[in-house]
Amino acid sequence: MNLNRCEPVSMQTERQVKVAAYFGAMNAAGLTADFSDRRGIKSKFVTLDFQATGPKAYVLRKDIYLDVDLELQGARIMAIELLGTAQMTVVPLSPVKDPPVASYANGLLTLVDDCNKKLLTTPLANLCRSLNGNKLTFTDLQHVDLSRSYVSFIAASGISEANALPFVFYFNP
Amino acid sequence: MQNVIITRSTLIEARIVSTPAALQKYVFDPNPEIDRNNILVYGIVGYSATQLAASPMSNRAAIPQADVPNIALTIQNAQGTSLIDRMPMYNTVRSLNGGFVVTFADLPMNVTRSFIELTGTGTLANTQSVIFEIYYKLRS
Repeated sequence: MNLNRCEPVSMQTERQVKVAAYFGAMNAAGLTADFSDRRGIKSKFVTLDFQATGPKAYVLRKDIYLDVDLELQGARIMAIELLGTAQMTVVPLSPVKDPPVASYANGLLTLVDDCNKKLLTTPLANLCRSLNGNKLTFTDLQHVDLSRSYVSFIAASGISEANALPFVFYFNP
Repeated sequence: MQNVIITRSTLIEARIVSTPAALQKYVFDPNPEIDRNNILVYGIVGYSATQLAASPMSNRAAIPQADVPNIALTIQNAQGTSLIDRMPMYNTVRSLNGGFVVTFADLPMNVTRSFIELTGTGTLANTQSVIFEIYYKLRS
């Protein structure tokens, strides 16, 4: 908090108290947390591995579904990250694949719960911390069903079977 | 320092549907998930074409990043009272603000009463849309 020497100390204190109270209430409601907060007991590396043909073939405006993940099924997702090449040069699959960072602005991730309700719809670029001042995207999403969740691209992207999206889910089992 | 936690999020879009001119206002389109006055908004993130190329709802192109300073955001409630008045869209674009997210104290936002206003025209066009992601919780 910047202190203004021309502002009476009592007003500065009042302002600090109000801001602290605001974030105290937001923290208590589970809507904010300190940047140093430990998000999730575990993390899991989840890839969307594009293929040449089939359900994981890249097609413009097609919903490409993530795979079922039994460990994440029903888990509480506390943060989500999509890695860029600044963080991981290749995606460690067999064969290795490239993260299509240049296309992150063209895609969105939608997470759906097991009641088929959309919990989150966010651009892929919003999940990549190297594109956002190195800030991790915090979430608190419960009952996510990855098999109902999907990525879709709304603008042409040079994505092929040489690419994969490397997500990291931070979660509480 | 605090970071926002997403519990629910969705995209909202204001389409530029006429020749852009300063002080022109464009309201947000209805969003069936949230247009029953049933939400409280606590965070908002704006997107230019650099972060999100086009709207998944309308397929219209997002505005260029250079035009972000030409947009101001007003959030109103169901009664038409402005809760957030002419906030620069620039403030809401994470990649322009060190990754920080603008937070609010539970705004009862009415999406179709809220609007964006052009403060300049730049390279804006009537084929583009202004897109935000709102972080919200349902009213109990």
